[in-house]
Amino acid sequence: MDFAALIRGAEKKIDQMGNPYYDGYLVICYGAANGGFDCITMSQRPREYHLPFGWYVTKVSPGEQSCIVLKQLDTQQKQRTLADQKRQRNVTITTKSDAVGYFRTMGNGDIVYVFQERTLYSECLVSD
Amino acid sequence: MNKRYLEGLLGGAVSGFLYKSSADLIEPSRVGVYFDDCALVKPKCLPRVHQSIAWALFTATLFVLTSPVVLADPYQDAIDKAFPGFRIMSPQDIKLYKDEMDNEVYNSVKDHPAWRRGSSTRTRSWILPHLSEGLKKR
Repeated sequence: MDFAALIRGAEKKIDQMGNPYYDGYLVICYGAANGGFDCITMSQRPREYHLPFGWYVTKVSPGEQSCIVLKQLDTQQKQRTLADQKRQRNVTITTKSDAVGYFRTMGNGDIVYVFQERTLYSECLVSD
Repeated sequence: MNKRYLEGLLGGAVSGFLYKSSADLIEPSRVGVYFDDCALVKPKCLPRVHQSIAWALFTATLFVLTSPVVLADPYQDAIDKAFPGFRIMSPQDIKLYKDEMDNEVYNSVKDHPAWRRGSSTRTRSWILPHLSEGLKKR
């Protein structure tokens, strides 16, 4: 059984604007045959998670997704390269299995992450 | 099985047992009987013992079913192992706007907006084996 989660550290930090935040990640953990999990982060470095956080995770069932922007995401890549800039606009993808929805609690910016390899995903921006 | 899950189960059972036992003890009509006649080895006491056990099991079951913390524990344990010092964000960490969301979606995520389990299949839940085949321009 796999799961996706938003996690954060316990240490409160202060950003350049003086606002408190926590280091945070969107993580995906793959259920292993032995009952354990193999977890990866969806970004190489932590993001600044301000509370209350404006995103939630959900499961996106198989089917068509209209992507305003679609790009490949190497989740463990330290720095972005030219390959990251290769984006497709206004494409429809058909997902064959569940995908990870990383959705805004208010407004636009919803993202669907579609598995390709263990640390490689397609990032589909479904609203902006 | 997860250690904390078992602790929760055991805790629920013990608290249920103690609660029922103490209820028996403080009930005036039973106090005398309990101390004078009731010992665990006497057959006449067995129904009460069974009652306490049943109550304990009921409480434990209720505890497990209603505790999202306990339910989420195996997943938090996985996070603890993979990312020490991090924890799954609590529902209080995330502000959902019910009016902005579809009712069905809201109800499905409101209790655990920072955590979502995939479907239980042999294949990985988030798999898309042939994305390129599914790509098509509008």
